[in-house]
Amino acid sequence: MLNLLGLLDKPDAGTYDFDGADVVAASADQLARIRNDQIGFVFQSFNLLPQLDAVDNVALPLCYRGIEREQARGLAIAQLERMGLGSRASHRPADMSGGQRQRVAIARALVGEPALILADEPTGSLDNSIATMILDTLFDLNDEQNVSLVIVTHDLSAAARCQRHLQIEHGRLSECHTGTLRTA
Amino acid sequence: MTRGKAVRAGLGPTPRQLLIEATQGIRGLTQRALLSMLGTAIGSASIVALLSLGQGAAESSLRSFKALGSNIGIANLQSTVASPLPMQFDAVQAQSMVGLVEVAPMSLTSTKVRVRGKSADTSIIGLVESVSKIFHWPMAKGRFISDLDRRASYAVIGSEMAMTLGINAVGDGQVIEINNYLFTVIGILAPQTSNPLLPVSVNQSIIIPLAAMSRVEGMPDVSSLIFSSHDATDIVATSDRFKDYLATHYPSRTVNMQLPVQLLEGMRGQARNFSYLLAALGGISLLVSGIGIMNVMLMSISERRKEIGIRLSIGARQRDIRNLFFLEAVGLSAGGAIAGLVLGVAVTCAYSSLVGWPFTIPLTALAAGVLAPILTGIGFGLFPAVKAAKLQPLQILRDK
Repeated sequence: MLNLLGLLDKPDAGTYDFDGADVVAASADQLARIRNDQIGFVFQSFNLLPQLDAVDNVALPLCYRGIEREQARGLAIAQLERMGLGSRASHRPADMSGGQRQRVAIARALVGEPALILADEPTGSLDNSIATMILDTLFDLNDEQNVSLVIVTHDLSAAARCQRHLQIEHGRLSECHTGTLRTA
Repeated sequence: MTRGKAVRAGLGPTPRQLLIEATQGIRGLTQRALLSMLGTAIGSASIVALLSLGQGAAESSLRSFKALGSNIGIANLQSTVASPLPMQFDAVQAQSMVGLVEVAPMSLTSTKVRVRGKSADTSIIGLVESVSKIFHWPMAKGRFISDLDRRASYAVIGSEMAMTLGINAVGDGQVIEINNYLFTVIGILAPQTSNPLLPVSVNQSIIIPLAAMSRVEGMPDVSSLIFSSHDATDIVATSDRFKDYLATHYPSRTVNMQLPVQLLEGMRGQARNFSYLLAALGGISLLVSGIGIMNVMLMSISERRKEIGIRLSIGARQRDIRNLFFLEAVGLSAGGAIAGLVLGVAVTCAYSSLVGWPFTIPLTALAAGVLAPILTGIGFGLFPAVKAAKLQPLQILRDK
């Protein structure tokens, strides 16, 4: 489902309006542009490019926006600093901890200043204390910068912090109330 | 947030960004990339070296012909009857009727010579003075034969023969025995470059006056006529006229004309064919290296499927992916081409100095050595790149 929301896949049936535009009929290039301009992805396995350092990883979305390398790296460093990773900026993903990598991934999702962050099990491969910190980061963004946040998760404590809850059970999607989820 | 949104500056990455990314990609390929580059480098080097060496070889053999002069020819005579009368060649008549500048009859025999107990088998060339106006043989010692020598038993010795016989002085006391006749050495020739027109090597021969040949051989016969025209433009016409003249005046001989100019043309054609053949060999090695590049790129793409998915998910267009991998392939082959160029020039330089050929790198060899591998990279890089661009992000990001 996150693939559909993130415009990585097209629905077999039905319609999907993204920001008022019908994206089912959009071309691959148009979808790429929307992904770049409006959507930031955060994955469970971070999905950073191992051959690039943190700055280049974060700057990558800007590169596909045609922004020159120096400017893009500048913006990326600023974003990393906001994530508290200024000192790790020139490290490659392999030299960073899981929490640091996920924060780099979030920085990459944020650097293009999207309207929507799609997080696919963002804490799935992190231990508890770091998971909490990552979730704090994400929810702070949601509060302070008016970025919509969609999280797919099995972690109920993470789900509990969200405003709306959608549950997929036996292939059916249903909205449920916060209270029921807590006791579930 | 205080700063404005990072404004979109274009539809996709700028060319410079693509270049930087492709360079990073190539560095990531490491050993396999180096090997495929090596393949390209060898292909490119062999094209450069083979074309250049082919040219060098051709030039070195052409050089010996060019040294002869382009206004020289030789008429080889063969008698059609078993024992013909010795040919009485009238040089003055031939000169005036045909328009020859110089003409020198030559007679040839081989025999044993002896000097103070040393002996050698050698060629005796009977010549007249005018040959020195055609060939310009420099002397190491003494003088060349003169028409004034008439039938005198004088001999001029080639440089290597002089060494074999241990002769290093000229004059009265220096005599050699040729067929029981004593000949006085009046000159020693300086070493000559080999002369493909003459059937024997001048360096290893002994030259005596044509009129004195009868002392060495019972019935000496003129075997060849060396002649020259005014310049290169009229040598072919002069040669034709001379052939007609000889056919009319000496019907008992068949005449075979040899012109360096014609030999040169034949050799040039041969050299050209030869270098095409060599270039084709280089082309085959490039084809192999092209497949190597395609192999490396396809493997790299299947290894970097995830990267492609990530790039697509953050907004790369299909064409951005295609361009990235295409540039990597071209970069690989260009790197190989440049390395090959250096290698090819080095090999050519080393080899031509080893065998004494002139060192030439023809422009066509350089162009072929650089362009062919890059074109191969373009040809063989396109398919993997297009394949990479067709990958679906969904599919890739699912296999974790």
